[in-house]
Amino acid sequence: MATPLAGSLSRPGSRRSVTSVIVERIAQYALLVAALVITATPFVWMCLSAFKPDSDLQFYPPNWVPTEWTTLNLETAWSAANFARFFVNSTFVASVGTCFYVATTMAAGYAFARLDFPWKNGLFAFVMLLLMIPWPVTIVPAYLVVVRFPLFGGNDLVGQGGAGMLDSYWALILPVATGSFGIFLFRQFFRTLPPELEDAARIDGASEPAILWHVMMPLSGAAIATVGILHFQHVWNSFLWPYLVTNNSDLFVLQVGLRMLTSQYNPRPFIQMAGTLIATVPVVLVFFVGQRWFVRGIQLTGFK
Amino acid sequence: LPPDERGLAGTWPSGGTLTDQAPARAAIVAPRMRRRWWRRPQAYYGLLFVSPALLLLLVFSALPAVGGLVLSLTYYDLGTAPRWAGLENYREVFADGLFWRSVVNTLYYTAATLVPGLVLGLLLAQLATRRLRGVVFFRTAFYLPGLTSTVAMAVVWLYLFAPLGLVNGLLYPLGLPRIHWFADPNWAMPAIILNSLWRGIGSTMLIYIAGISGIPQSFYESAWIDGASRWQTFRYITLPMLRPTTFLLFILHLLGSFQVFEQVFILTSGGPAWATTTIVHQIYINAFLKSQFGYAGAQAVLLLVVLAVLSFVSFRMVPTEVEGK
Repeated sequence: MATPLAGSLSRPGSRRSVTSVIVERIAQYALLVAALVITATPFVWMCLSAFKPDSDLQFYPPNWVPTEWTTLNLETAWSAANFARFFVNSTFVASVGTCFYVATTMAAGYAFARLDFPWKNGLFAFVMLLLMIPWPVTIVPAYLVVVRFPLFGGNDLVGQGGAGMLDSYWALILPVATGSFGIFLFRQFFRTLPPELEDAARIDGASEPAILWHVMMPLSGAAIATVGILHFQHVWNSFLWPYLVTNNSDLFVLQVGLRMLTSQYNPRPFIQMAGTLIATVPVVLVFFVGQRWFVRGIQLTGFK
Repeated sequence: LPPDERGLAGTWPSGGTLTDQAPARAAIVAPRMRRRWWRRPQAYYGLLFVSPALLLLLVFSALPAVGGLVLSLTYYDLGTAPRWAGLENYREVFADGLFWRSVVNTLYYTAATLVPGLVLGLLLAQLATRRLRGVVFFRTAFYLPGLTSTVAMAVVWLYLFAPLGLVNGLLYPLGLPRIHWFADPNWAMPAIILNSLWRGIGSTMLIYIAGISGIPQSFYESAWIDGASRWQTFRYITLPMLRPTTFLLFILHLLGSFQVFEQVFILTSGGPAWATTTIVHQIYINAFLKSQFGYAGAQAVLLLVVLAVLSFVSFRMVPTEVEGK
């Protein structure tokens, strides 16, 4: 029966010799380490380069470890290139956007899952239809909506005369304040909860908002974390939309600032790597804090 | 009062007839058989709960989606009022050599990322589901590239693939010539493709891991009893059982790679000599650099049609035997 290669480690391996198990294990670790080297090298390279002095540019092939460790690149990126401001903007936009996103999608998801209201199926079909429209199709007209938004930025009632929401936090936050995807996820989640919970609360005279707040929300920790972390990461990493709607560098988010940094400090890769490091660390931290929910979200949905 | 206003101006909530329910429920359980929706708390709270989300979706998704279609039938440069163009934009797109160039580039990118991405992701998932010490650490590490932003990693890529960067530095001892990755029309796209493969592999792996853990262990056990080799169990159990997962990933990657933009924007801006311009990059250029919003709108609508057709065809190609299992 057993060829030397046969059987995974979980398999009853009575017929396999100890050596073949050891060889197999070594081979598996070798493959894992090889894959690790490939996935990790760009990160390691980024981190090491962020601490190199400019004099290290002379080496070719380039050196791995800085000849002298310096935080000068980080300081330059942080203050001279105004990354402190970009950092605050990114944090603000991603946090506020995520709070709104979770609140609006949870309320809508709950209503679609549990409440009986007019036009429910039609409205849900509408939400799902929007989920299927790819972003390049809507981004150009969405930009025009923002520019021509009535009564914003000097616009009149029909949206003429001013710059609309351009160069304001509104343009950064409102378009990411809700989404079909979160509504869908929350709806799926609430459908798994037993309906007796709310029926009991309803008979006790609780209003619908009270049911949502006091009964449903405490049960939704995992769903809130999943949706929240996925959306925070999405907003934090998004580039094109903030790039389009902000011209004033006081409103730049990190990704846009990073783009500016790469052109501003074009021949100075170490400063670019320092900026990249600053833009990358927070989302990695959020990931490690919420890893459990994050992985579940990916696997649940097939999206990231 | 007209019938529609009678209910709103009526006696709710205090005037509801008391039933055998608690007084607070009087308004809910109205005596009439068919209650108007505004008399049912579920109905108006339901509408209340969905309205913030739906209003935002209406303004920032639905209006742009419909607007894009209308826009594509006009000439519009944001400065002057839109002029009706009919199908003229579409005619021009079909005659636009640069657009066809971007289609070819997008197909090249898709062909080179789609299947290799799936195969590598499956291989990693196979490795990362072995019962080995520390395998969770490896899993996390494999996922990290997908977590970071496209822009940040593109900036790292610019430096990695710079003429005097690490990649050329690693090729140097092998005696290979120095490649000017982003300045050479033949090498710019491969550098972009490597970036996308590197970034996408982690999430592919995670989804495959979810698929693999859904396969009943008993399938493998009976195969072992029958003396199947590891290759045979992979070929005749794992692969067929993962077909729905593979299909999902295939569609997601296909749709995703037709929309590739940010890597191109940061790494090459479509160059050199338009060797890396993609469909979405053309949409970006026409809208935001040339202010030809109608023309960009037409390209976007064509992209939507292509994506819809691709999804439709893919769903038709789903092997039906998958459903049976």
